[in-house]
Amino acid sequence: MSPKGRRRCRSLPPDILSNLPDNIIDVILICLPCKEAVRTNILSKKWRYHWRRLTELTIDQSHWSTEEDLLYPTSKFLKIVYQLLTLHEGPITKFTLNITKLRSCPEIDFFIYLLSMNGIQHLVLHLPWNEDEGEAYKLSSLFTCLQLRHLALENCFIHPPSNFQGFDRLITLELCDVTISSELLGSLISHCSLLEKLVLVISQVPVSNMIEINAPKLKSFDFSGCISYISLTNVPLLTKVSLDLCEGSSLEAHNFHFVKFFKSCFALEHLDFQFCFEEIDIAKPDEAPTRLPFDHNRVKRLCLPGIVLEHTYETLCCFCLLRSFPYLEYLEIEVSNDGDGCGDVAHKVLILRKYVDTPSVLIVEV
Amino acid sequence: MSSSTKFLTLKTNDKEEFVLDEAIAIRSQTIKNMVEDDCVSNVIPLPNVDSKTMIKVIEYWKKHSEEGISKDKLMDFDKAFVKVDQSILYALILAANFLNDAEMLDMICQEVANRIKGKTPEEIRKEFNIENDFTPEEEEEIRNENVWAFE
Repeated sequence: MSPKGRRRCRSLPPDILSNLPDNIIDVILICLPCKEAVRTNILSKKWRYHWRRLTELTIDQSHWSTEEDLLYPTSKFLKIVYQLLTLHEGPITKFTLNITKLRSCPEIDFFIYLLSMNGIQHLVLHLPWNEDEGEAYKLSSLFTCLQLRHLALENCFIHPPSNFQGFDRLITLELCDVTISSELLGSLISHCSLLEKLVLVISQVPVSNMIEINAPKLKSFDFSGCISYISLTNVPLLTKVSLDLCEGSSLEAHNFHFVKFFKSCFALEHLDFQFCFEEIDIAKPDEAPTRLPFDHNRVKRLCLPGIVLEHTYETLCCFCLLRSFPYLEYLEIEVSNDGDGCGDVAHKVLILRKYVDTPSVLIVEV
Repeated sequence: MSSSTKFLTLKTNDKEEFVLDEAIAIRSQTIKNMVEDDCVSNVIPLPNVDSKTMIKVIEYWKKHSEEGISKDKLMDFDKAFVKVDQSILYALILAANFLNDAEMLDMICQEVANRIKGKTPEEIRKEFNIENDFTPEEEEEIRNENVWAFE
């Protein structure tokens, strides 16, 4: 290039961005927040329609910036989603709606219907909490989205139709405070034959106290909330389990269930187990299991966050698990002090330390 | 098959040759396909890439192929890697696209997006030298089409 040419380049660099191939523009637009991606339509004629090909759309609270917007967002919300979905062209593979702070979101089921026609594969819906229980958002159209590979729902009501054959491509399923009978939930899980990751959060008292999990490909299971019994009927590949059981749960109140649970996840390698059973603790500390009737030889990693040492039952359950996992490589215990008797706690930590003789131990005192 | 390291020679459009470990070069899906289809003779021509850009690409490939390198170190490397003039960034994007290295393409496109993010349309036009070829009426019409995006 001549010196003259170079100088001209520096003073006015050509507009290369607009001339990049469409596939590259698409990647750039996906990296932008949805609102800014849509706004590129005003840059120039070349940019007018690029955003309409976006394969991933995210709508979150950032679209309602002021307090007033948050209070009365309904009409605006509908307008945004309608405009997005009607002007959009081609497949939408991922759709995220994160609007837990809005007051309500009507017509959500119709939007899912539109998405189902666009080959949706990854659907994330964090909906507002609906105070009126009878008015929970019923997502009927969900069961027409048969291309789904990842599904995450919060605060809604689902009821698979009796002839529903399952999401046969689904790999991850996350349900957070989703209203569904435990029977239908068990049936839904067993009908998703490729399911590898399951997350259940139940912060309200469940309708029924038992969940059955039959998932031959399941590798990871997270449960948080209140439950009496989780029945693992067919989980040969389940290696990672995280249980965060709230007060009112009684999974290990019954030795039988406690034992059965660990017996059925025989491939388990990594366990996070959080207890919270004060009432039981006071009532029947001597009923705590001492050890599982079998050794769990594959468990390598155990995390026990939030152990309250004053609660004898919990501590005994810890010991039970420790005794039953002979090949543990990593142990993390978080001890929380419940107020009274600091010296006592320190003493018990000492006992724990003495007991624990594994290669990598981390005890965190809170 | 021999267990020793296999090398490939890559020839850029300005006739420079780069000798590279095949295991590293096949980060490019384009090169990988050529190797797998056995279309590789002595030299692989890269008609869409110049030597200056190829030096950067190889620097990236080598760093990302280092054994046991931490994620943090890679992130620092990537951050410094994209701190270049727009013209180099475009050359890298086009090279990553031609070589079909999705990871590298995503990383550089993210950088372009970062340079767009938070700017008004007018600022974006200025930064990237995009000519506004709309009439004021047309512009108004587009704003009305997606009012929410401009609030």
